[in-house]
Amino acid sequence: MRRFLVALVLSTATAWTSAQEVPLEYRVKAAYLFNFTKFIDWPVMPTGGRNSFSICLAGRNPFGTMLSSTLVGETAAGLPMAARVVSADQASSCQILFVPRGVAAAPYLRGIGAAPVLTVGESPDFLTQGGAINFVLDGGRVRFEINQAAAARAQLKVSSRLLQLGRGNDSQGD
Amino acid sequence: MSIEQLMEIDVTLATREPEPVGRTAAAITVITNDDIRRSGVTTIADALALADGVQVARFNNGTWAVSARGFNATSANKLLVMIDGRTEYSPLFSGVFWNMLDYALEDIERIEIIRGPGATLWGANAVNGVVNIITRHTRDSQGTFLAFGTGNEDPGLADFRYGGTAAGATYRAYGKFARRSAQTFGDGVSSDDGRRRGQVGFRIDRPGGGGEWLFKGDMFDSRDDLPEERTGEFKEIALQGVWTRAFTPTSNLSVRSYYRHEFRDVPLQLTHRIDTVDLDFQHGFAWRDRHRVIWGATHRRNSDQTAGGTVLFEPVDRVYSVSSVFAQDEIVIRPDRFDLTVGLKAERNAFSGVEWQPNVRGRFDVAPRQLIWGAISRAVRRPTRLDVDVRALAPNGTIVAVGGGEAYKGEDLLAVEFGYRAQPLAIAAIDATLFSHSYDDLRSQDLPPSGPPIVVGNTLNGRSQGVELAGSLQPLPMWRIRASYTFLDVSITKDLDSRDIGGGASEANDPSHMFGFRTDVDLPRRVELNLFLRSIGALSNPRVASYTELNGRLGWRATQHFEAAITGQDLLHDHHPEFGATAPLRIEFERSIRVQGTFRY
Repeated sequence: MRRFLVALVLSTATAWTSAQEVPLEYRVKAAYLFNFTKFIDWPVMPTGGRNSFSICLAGRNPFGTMLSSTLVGETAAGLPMAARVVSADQASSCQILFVPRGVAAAPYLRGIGAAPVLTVGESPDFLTQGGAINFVLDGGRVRFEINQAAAARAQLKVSSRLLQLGRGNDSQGD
Repeated sequence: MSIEQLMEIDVTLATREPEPVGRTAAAITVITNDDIRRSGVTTIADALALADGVQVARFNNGTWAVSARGFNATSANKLLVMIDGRTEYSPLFSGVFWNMLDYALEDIERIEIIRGPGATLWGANAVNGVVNIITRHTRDSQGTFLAFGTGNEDPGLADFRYGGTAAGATYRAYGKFARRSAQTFGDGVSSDDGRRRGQVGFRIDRPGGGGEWLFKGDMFDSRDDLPEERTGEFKEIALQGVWTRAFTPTSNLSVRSYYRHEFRDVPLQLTHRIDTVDLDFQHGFAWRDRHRVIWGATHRRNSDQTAGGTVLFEPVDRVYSVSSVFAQDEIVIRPDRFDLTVGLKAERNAFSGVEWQPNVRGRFDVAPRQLIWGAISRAVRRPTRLDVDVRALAPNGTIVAVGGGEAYKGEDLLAVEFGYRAQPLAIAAIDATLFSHSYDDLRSQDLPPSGPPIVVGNTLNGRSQGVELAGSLQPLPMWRIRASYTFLDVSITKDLDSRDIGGGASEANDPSHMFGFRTDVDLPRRVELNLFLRSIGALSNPRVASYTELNGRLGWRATQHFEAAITGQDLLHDHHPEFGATAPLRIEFERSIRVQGTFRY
């Protein structure tokens, strides 16, 4: 992945983002997305013909090349991990779907239905809309809250360790 | 990193580690938002002085001479300057009217400065360098920002911005207003070059069409006083739309368009109106594992109207376009060891037809944290109306110079560069570049056998060679140091049959040595100190003595919301000259002290 950085920096202003310009907030969130896979069990699932464990980005990529570089050489559920940007109708083939701020979550959540996809968002109402994990900024730090009911609907087993670290949010989404 | 560790990172603090060893196979410096804030500068041109190897010399309050790798002049014409991909150099003379290039500095994400040609990717005029100004995404400029400042040279500075969200989009609106006091001639007489400027604008980012939209609008107005002359007037309105879509993490498309109207009235010289429309697309994708391909095309149409003064154009009005296509392939020859980039740009302009601009770059990782790179490039400065159509008049009305017309060619550069970059320690990085530029068909002022007027021609050649060194060190987490040194040797020669009488004096006036030293310290109690020392060698024609000057800023981040600062510029002398004619007609820059208060909510 390193080899792409030159073209990224050299190209014109808005076409690409390089790792350097990704705000620290998103570098931290990228690391979180990767870490979540260690605390969650996915059921055996169709991978939509892909031989990879997909961390998908709804509509746009706020991570630049950061997320892809984090995932190079890493595996989850025995599959190599990869990142890609998807539209709502492709979302059910993902294992993790991140919905960036400013992207409407509803079409994606509808597209996923009951498929085993861990949905992660960063908007205040993401859990009430039926998302499973939501990032919140707390005193400048990135923390997360978990909607256990939504995770259970997606047949995901969330470890008690992760539940402890996240802020419980069981009352919502039921 | 574990989740527990991730939970403790404060993401609102700017990262303070030295930047990782840049991977770019080019001589690049990045000025960050934090660098700009800590330096206390108030204009984009002054911010460029923070970059390694860039010569920024002030001529008067509204005129700068800015170049990299030499050929500096107030009409310096070999840099490509862009803001969010919108070109900011004027097609009238391919230089930048720096007095009109403004933005809310708080919302500039960073400025990338590449020394040397970048014509293959960026197109004509990226001859001696590229300045790429990138404004912040609106999601990173949310909330209210207010700043007020006052000082002996800047009696009034006001900046405001509001950023919010609506209907799935993020936006900001900003405004800035600044007054600048007149400087002085060497003999102490006021130079009457005070100015008042204001700019307002907005930016909207919103998802759509499977990608993301960006809309920007900016409006600028300034009044620049001149000694014993009426006030100059400068206005600009620009609208820009960009759509980018990432199909996959390695495949991207961007389509960009802008419209700009400029008006400038320079008393005695020129009244100039120009409308520019630009459409550009670019597509990048990975191919067969080892290739990273970028290709794209641009079309730009300029339509201008002139009325003079002492600088006339024939024809008075002109419509002229430029179109180009380019492709570049970055090839991994040996993974993590050796990469090669080859690219070619073909560009058709209204004056000299098709120009080919190829480029080959290689990058070799000699060891972990150490790389060498090399590049061979051809770049062209395409002809402009100032070269082709100009009629320059003496004050008594006689024509002293005429443009070269259809015979005028583009200026050609063949550049060879080598660089070495290393980060031997996590806290230290060094960067060294050697370059040799050969110029052919440089602009000349030829006196025909039949006598005056002078005809603009291409009978000069040039050569510039130099060394650019930079190093950064972070001895303590709260203490950062950056130093740079540039050696430059520029020579201009005539073709055998040249009838040039200018000797290139209007094309280049460069210091042989430039030294810069910057340090940032975060002191206890949320106090921060920035010092910037620069030492610039003498200029030969017109002569300007070498000088050393110091800028400093002491800031106090009293709370999360309020910051107070005192900034001093040019502290070592009462006043000093940087560029231009000989004393007493030359303007000198006075010591400046100001205070500023900033609110962020």
